[in-house]
Amino acid sequence: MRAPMSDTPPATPSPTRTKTPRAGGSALIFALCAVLLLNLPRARAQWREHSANSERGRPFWMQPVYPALVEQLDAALPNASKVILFSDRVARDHQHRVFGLQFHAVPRSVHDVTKLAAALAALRAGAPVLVDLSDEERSVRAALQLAEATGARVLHEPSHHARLLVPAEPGA
Amino acid sequence: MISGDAYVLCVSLAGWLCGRALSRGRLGALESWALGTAASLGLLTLAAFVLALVGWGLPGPLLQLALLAGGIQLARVLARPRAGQERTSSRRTSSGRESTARESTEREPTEATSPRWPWLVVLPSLALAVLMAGDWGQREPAGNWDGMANWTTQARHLARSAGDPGEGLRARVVGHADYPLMLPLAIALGWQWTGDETQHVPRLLAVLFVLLLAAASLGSFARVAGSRSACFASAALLAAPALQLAARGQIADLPLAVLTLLAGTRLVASLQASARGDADPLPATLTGFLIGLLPWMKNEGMLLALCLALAALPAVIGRLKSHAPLLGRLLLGALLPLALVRHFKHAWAPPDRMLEQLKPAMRNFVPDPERWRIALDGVAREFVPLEFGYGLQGLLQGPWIERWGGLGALCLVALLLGVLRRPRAAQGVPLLATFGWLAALCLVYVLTIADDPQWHVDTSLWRLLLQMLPFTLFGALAAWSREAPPVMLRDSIRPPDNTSPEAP
Repeated sequence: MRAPMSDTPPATPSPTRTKTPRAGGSALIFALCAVLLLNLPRARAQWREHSANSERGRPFWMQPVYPALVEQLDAALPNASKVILFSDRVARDHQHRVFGLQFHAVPRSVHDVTKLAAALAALRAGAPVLVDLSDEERSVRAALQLAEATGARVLHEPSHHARLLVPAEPGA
Repeated sequence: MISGDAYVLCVSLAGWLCGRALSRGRLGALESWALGTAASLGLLTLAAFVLALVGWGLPGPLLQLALLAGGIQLARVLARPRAGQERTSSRRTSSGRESTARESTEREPTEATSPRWPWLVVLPSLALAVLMAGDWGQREPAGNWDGMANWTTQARHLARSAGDPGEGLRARVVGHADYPLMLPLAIALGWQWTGDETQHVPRLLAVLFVLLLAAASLGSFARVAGSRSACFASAALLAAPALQLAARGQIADLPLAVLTLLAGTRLVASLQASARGDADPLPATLTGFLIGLLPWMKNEGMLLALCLALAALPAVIGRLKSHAPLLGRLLLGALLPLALVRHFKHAWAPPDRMLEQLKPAMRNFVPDPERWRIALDGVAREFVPLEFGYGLQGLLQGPWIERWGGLGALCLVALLLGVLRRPRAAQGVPLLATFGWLAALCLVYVLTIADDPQWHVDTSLWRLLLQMLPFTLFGALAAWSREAPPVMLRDSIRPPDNTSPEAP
C-alpha cells in the first residue's frame, strides 16, 4: 500500500476502488452543490443589477465629458494640448482617449488641498488643471483653493462638479 | 469587430491545435485547449515584446499568424513520441502488469459515457460570467480600474509608440505602469488586426479568459474527481459572487487565476510523472513556462510563482536526485518569461514604490500590531463569519458569505482535512501553496505603503484570494477524490515508465 508522505502512486489500484467514490468526496460535492444553489441566485441578482444600471443610463463619469469645459478651454487657451487631470477615478480612460488628458494620481485619502501640491506645481508651471474628485464638495473646495493660491481662472462645467483651472500665465 | 473576433479566434484555434499536440484524450481536451491557448497567448506576447525591444515594433497580423504557427509546430515536434517509445509502451501494456495509464485510458470511456446532464449545471454560471465579462452595455465601457481600463491604457501606449514603447510607459504618471505586459500586449496585438483601438478586443479577451477558466477547471477537476463532480465544482466556482464581480470588472486577477490553476495543476502532474520516472521533457518544460508566465501577467504573479515553487519543495527535497531532471526542465521553461519580465522591470517599468520602500516599511510596519490585526482580520473575514452579536443573521453576513457564498471556507476546510487524511506529497502542493499565499498576503498588507491599510485590505484582498481559489478547489477535489491517481495529460498516449528502477 501507499506509504505516508510518498508521492509514488500505487502500482495497481483495484478496479473496485477506482469506481467507489469516497464518502468525504461525496460530501464535498454535496457541499459544492449547496454553495452553487446559494450563489446562483446571487449571481443572477448581480447580473440584474448590472443590466439595470446599464439601462438606467451612463454613470456620470461616462457621460459625454465636459463639453462646456472643452469649449471654454479652447477659448481661454487655444494652444493647450493637454490638461492635467486630478481625479480619484483615474479609470476614466475614455477621457484620456477623447481629450488626450494627462492623468495624475490623487490618493484616495486626499481630503485636503495640501495633498494637491502636484496640482499647484502644475498650475504654477502654466498647465491647465482639471479637478474632478468624486465628491462634489471636495472637488469644488479643492479647485477654489488652488485657484486662490495661484490666481488661476476657474471654469465651470454647468452640469458637473468638475472645475477646470486655467493658469494666469499659461506655459508653452 | 470582425477582425477583433478573428484575432481571438486565431489565438483560440492555436490553443486548440497546441492542445491537440499535447493530449489526445477526450477528458483532457478542455484543459488542453485552455493550456494551449494560455501558452500561445503568452508566447505571442513574449515574442512581441522581444520584437519591440529590438526596434521592430509590434508584429502585424501576418507575423502574428506566423508566430502562432511556429509555436504550434514546435509543440507538435516536441510532443511527438520519441523513437521506440510506442514500442516500449505496447510491450508494457501487453505484460501482465497493467500500468496506471492503462487504468486511466480505461477510465476515460467511463467518464465519457457518464450522464450528460451534469454539463447543463455549468451553463447558467458560465453564461452569467460570460455576459458579465463581455457586456456591451454602457456601464463602465472601459472596464474597471485594475481591469480592462488599465490594460487598455497600457496597450494604448504600446500601440501608439512609434519608437521606443518603453519610453511611453515610463512617462505614465499614474496607475500601475509597472504592471507586466501580457494583457496589454495581447490587446495591442489585437488592435494590429482591427486597425483601430476598439474596446471589442479587450472585451473579447475578457470573455476568452472566462471560457478558459471554465475549460481549465472542468478539465483539471475531471482528471482528479470525475466529470460529474467537475461539473458541480466548476459551476460552484463560476457562480461565486467574487468571480462574477471580477468578470464584470474585467479585472486582471481572473486571467491570473486561470494561469495559476493551469500552472499549479501542471506542477502537481509533473511531480507525479517525475516520481513515476516519466522522462518526457515537454510537459515539465511547459509547466515551467506557465509558472514563468505568472509574473508576466501581473505583479502578484511573482509571489504566486514563489508560492508554487516553495509548495513543491517538500515533494522534491526528499528525492532530489530523481527529481533533478524535472527541476532542470521547469527552470528551462520558466527562463524566457522570467528573463523578459526582469528586463521589463529594469528597462521599461517605473520603479515599484512598494519595493523601493521595503526596508523602511519592514522597519516601521512589521512591529506594528495594528497592521497585523488589520491584515489577519481581513483574511479571516473572507473565510469565516466574524460578525458576532446578530444571531444567525450575523453569521450569514460578511465577506465570507456575501463575496464567496461560503466557497472559500469550504475549499479551505476540505483541502486541509483531505490532505491531512491523505498526506501524499504531490497533493500537498495545493495546500502549501494556498496557505503560503495566505501568509504572503498578510505580510503584503502589513507592508503596504497605502495611506490607509484597512482600505487597501477592503478593496483588494478578495481579488488576490481569487487568484488562488481555483487551484485551492482543485486541491480539495484531488484530496477527496477516488483512490486512483490523477490522469496525466499524455497518459493516454504514453504510459509511465514502470520499468524504471524506481517504479514499485
